[in-house]
Amino acid sequence: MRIDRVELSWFRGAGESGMLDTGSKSVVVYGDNGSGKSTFVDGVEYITRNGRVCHLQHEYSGSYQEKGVRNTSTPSEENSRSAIHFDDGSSIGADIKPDGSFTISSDPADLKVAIQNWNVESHILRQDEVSRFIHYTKGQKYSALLPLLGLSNLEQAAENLRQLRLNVIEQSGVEAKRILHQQLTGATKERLLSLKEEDVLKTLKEQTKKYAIEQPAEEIKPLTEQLAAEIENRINSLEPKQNRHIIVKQILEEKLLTKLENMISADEKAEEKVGALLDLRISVLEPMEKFVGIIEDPEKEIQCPSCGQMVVGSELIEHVTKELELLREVRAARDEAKAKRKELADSLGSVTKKTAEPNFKSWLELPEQEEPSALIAQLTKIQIAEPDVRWKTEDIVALRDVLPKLIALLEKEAERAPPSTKELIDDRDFVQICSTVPKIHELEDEIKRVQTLIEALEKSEKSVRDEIRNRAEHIVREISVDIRRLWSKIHPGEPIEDMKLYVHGEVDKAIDISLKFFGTDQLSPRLTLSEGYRNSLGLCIFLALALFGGGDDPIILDDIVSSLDREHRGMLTEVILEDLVGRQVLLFTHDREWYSELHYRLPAAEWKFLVLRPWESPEIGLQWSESVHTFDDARDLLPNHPEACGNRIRAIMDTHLSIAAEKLRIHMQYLRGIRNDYRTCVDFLNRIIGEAPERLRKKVDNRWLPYDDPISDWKTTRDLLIAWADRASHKGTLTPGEAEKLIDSCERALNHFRCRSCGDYIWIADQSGRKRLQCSCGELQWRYG
Amino acid sequence: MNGIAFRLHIATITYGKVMKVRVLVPGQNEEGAFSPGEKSLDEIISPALSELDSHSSEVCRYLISLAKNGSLEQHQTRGSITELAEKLLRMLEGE
Repeated sequence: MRIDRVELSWFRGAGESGMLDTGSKSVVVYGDNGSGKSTFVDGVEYITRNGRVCHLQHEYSGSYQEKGVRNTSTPSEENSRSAIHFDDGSSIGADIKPDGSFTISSDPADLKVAIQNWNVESHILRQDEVSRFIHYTKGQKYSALLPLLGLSNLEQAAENLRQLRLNVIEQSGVEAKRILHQQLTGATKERLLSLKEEDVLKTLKEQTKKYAIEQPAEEIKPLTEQLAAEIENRINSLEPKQNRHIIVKQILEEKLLTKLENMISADEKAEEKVGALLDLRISVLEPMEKFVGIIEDPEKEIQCPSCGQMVVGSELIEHVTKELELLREVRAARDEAKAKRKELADSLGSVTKKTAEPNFKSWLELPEQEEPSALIAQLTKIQIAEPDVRWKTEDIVALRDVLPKLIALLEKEAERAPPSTKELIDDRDFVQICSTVPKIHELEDEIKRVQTLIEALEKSEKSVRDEIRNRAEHIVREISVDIRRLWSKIHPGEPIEDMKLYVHGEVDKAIDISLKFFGTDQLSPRLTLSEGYRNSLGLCIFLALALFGGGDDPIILDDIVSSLDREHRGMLTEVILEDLVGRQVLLFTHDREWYSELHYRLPAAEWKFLVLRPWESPEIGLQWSESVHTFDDARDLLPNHPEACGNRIRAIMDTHLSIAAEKLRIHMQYLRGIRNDYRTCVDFLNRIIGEAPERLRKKVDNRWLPYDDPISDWKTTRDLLIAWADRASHKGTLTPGEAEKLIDSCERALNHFRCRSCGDYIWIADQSGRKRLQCSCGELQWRYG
Repeated sequence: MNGIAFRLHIATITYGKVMKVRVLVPGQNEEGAFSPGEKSLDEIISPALSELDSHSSEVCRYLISLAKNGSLEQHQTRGSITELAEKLLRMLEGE
């Protein structure tokens, strides 16, 4: 898929209309700083990021970045627009209203999804982001690579399995069941040697003989019901005194004191957790919770609704999930406290009821029972709180005072119970314990079933994560091969080597970069590499990722060579020529020298060269130069500073002709000392003029004939440069008319290096065996042998 | 190459320059993504479900069908995860 053109209207630096017409070719756009190059990159990014440009993310840019995206001179009722048209006729466009709200639509409709799935890490690289990947954390590197690794689906599956497991744990109540199981088995173990059904049944059947049950049931549950009913009958038929002992025992079994302490402890724990967390977390989570549910692609960056920062969706989801887990802990503590309050309230209610039974009441009324009577009177006065409400401090103090005294008295009374009563109570307790055995087995089955499911989900998640790791390791090894290859092209023979991405051994979702620096292993490029080298490595990583995962999507490079010196820029040109073949590249630069080099080296059949004129005002917006050379910045000086224009022209010609001479294998005479490095355009032009009659040929009727036309233009240009450009430099005198003529002459001179038929430069193809350079169609030829 | 069958793109030579040579890892398609034939999600998770299969083959089958039809690889909302967990527990109870 190739971009045919990018159309902008009142978008960033663009005025009413601004168009980058690539003609479906790769393109190099030259422009001074502020000429509007990045406006086109912003236009593309705005669409791919669904209405957002990363570098405009700022507290002052407005909710929709409308203060940054819209041209400041946009008529108030006018919408801003950005549209990308592709070579197959499809297109996608954003229509931005004055308030910043926008719609993005495409033709065909599914193109929008495809374009917005472009991974910025492998499509767009900007000057200030060249080393961004290096500076990412391990997790960010992983997230950045995930779409390229093609593992997003598996990552999503692992996350779904994790969420499913947590949900099963929560919904099944397996943890509560486990606690109940522990409590029940703890109680039964004191009285039963075995929990096997046949053993319990056997023990219970012995009891049935004792209580003369004629037709004992064959299962535990009905059998315990038969026994409990019989024991209860016998208890009810006891003498009042014996019956009172039963009640005393029952009151003691309520374990009021323990329940009171449990409730106080649970309340304190809940208070501690709730107080510290609840308000803070809820304020953070409330806006987020709704948001998380609507995140369509967890690997894309989104704006956090709470703090406004850009975060990867999956990280936000993880953050919210963790926060929710914390809150759930708090809620569990609160529920626990509520349960303990209810437990105590129920027991107190039960005790109050029992103390009102006639047998017990009559005992309390005896003169010697004044103390327990008074204590029970105090107890019944305490108002039992609802489970949702915390007990009043004075009630807790009263309970702590009354209960120990009352329980001590009742324990003494219980010791006085006659043996027959004790046996009945003991048997009743035993039957009660046996009755819990079926429940224990039931719980065991339930827990085991759910546990099997939980473990299966956990193992599945682990299997998926292992698979992700294996595949990721394979792929990052491959990407690393590309990174090393690209690095060795840009930095041949330098002692920084063996750079590679690696999947972190211990941490999930983590990828990092290592390298060898002068033979020593380094776990991060940040430890030893200079900023320039980091940028260079960042560039290699971007290109390796683009080569790996970009398919045939365009690559956009915005002013990426700022920190590279001339030599390394030259090497990068090699990379573009050799490694990005077949890919559409939209390359923006303010570096005139590099632009010229690219202009002379990249084939015209695949590349288009454009020059942006300096930007003047928001109303005028972007302006293209008529020329593909970079004389327009000199032309802009014409009206007011013609002498400065002369200097600029000579600087431009110095750059262009030095590259042209190098390409044409022109051997310059050796000069002593530093003068060797300061050749001028006139020096180069003289040599070219001198060698051209022997070397320059044009194909006419299949015959290679000497081609003299350019030579006269080159001579004229040389003479004008000597006469006028020198005068402009030394005396500061050059008229606008002279300057204009000089520019025209220089442009004509440079255009002679280009074939008029195919548009390529004469040196684009090197037949090194025959020592000939020629354009793509072969019409122009330079013989250097 | 380490016993792995690497596929190479054809190296094209134009004007004396070698065009891009791309090495793909096994199972990866031209776009860099793994081809569906490599190891599908249901194949990945099946071994992890063997014990569940002996306890509840219906739940096991259902999880594998989710893996096969791609549901597990799509983003699920919290609500849909909750529904799914409910369904699994109901199926588990039903056996």
